[in-house]
Amino acid sequence: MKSLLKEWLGKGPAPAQLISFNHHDILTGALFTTQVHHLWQRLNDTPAKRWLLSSESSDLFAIGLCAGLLAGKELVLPPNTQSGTLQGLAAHIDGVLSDVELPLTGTENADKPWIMLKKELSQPKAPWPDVSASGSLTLYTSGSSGDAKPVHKTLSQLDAEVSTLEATFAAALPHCSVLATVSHQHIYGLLFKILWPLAASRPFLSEQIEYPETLSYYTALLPNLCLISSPAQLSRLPDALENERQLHSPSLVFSSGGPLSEEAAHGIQKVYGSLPIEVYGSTETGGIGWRRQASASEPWQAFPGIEIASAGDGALLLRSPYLEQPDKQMRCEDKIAIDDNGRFVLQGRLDRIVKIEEKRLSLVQMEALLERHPLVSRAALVLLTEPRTQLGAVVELSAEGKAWLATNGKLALNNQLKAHLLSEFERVTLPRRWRYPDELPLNQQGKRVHQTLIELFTHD
Amino acid sequence: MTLQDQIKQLIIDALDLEDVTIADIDTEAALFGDGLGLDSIDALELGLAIKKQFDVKIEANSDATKAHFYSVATLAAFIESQRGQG
Repeated sequence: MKSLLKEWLGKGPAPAQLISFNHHDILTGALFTTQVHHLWQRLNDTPAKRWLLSSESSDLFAIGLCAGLLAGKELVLPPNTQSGTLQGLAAHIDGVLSDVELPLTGTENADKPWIMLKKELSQPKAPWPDVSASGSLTLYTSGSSGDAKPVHKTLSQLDAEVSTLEATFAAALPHCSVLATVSHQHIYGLLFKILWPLAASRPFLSEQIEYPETLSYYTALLPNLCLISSPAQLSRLPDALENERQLHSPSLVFSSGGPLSEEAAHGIQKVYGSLPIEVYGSTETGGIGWRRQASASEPWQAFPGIEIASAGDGALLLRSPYLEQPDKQMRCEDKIAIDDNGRFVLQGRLDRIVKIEEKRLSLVQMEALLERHPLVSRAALVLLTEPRTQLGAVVELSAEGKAWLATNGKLALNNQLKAHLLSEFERVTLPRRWRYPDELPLNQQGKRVHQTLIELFTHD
Repeated sequence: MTLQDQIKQLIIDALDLEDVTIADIDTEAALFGDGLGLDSIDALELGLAIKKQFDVKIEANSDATKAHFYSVATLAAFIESQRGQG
């Protein structure tokens, strides 16, 4: 297979390649090349090796990404930009590339170089750096133990994945522009919205789409579109479009980041005329398989080159060219069942990692953070599925906490604990249901009784 | 019920907010982030609920939409302005 991404990074975009656009501006290959060159030069001039990269603008992000890879730097993508998360990463970065001020303070960060990413129109024209890109990426994801876990991606790994995506789906994407409702800071958006479009000469929208109305504006405007989305948006989109067949539809809709319900898949088929392509994978593994969900039991097809097997407890065993060690079998905590044709169905997680609106988090990590709050003695979290997937928190308060609750009331306490969790977790993942029993229910083995915890939430 | 209280009740019902009453929602305070603490998924669901209940049109321009959805007060003004046009 052709090394699509490596080849593109070797020569840069054609001057006329349209890199990105928004409702009032475009970024051409020529201008992109100049900006990458100047940033590459600045990065070359500093010994700082590990750079945190963060920008809401996909065009500025892509400039930082290409310049960093070409300069041989290790680019660190934070899981979010909450202050506690960034402080936790401080020891692992030597510099910051960002388009906004980030909550990264403290003396240990004062000496680190900061480069502000911004659109520069006055720089002298410059060529694509004539070097072989040797940089790499580090992403962070939640590990089972509760600590953020670094995942390294070399250019070869990313290249293998981009090349496979192009070989698998290019025929369905003639002259497409790429829109995304997901962030490029995570592996899915990074691959599908930035790296793949760059390497395949498809322009991307420099903003992230947040509302269905904005999406409809672009589908009406552009004849050929590829939509990179996720269940959070896709499950709500059919209603927002009044469940009516749209005159203008994307050529392909991708969904990843979490399970898409059958209802949502069919809702999208109704408004856009075809089923979305669901991609199954994770930060550690990269893409594993894909499917179009004609019915909920539709099995997944592994991507070409990927070998799957299941362990005694059903855990997925994976061998993949997207892994750091392609020849070594990797155990994943997703339970699978493989059918006679080598396709597979997913049967849930084997550990305490959950997804809330596609944000992956470790229940162990969140419980530990709750238990560090002075008002809390012990805490347990459960995943609730009604009316939407959300967390319920069962908290046994400390003596101080019980007094605080009596004085200030439940809503104030909920908000106090949510504010505490915000130091490490994004708002959308915070528990929406709170219970404060006198004691956390435990069984004789001292284990928290899952069913008893769930029942605390089912009375209403 | 005033339009502002109708909006507050809709926020509580549509987003299934537990432990929150109309009296707990400050008319002028930010709905998202600090303030009431709604999240990005709430934004999607609230947009849909407001459209349905008050029959308003939401623009493709997300900056304008964010300004309309800033607080109960700005939402009430937005709904009133569209009623004025009708």
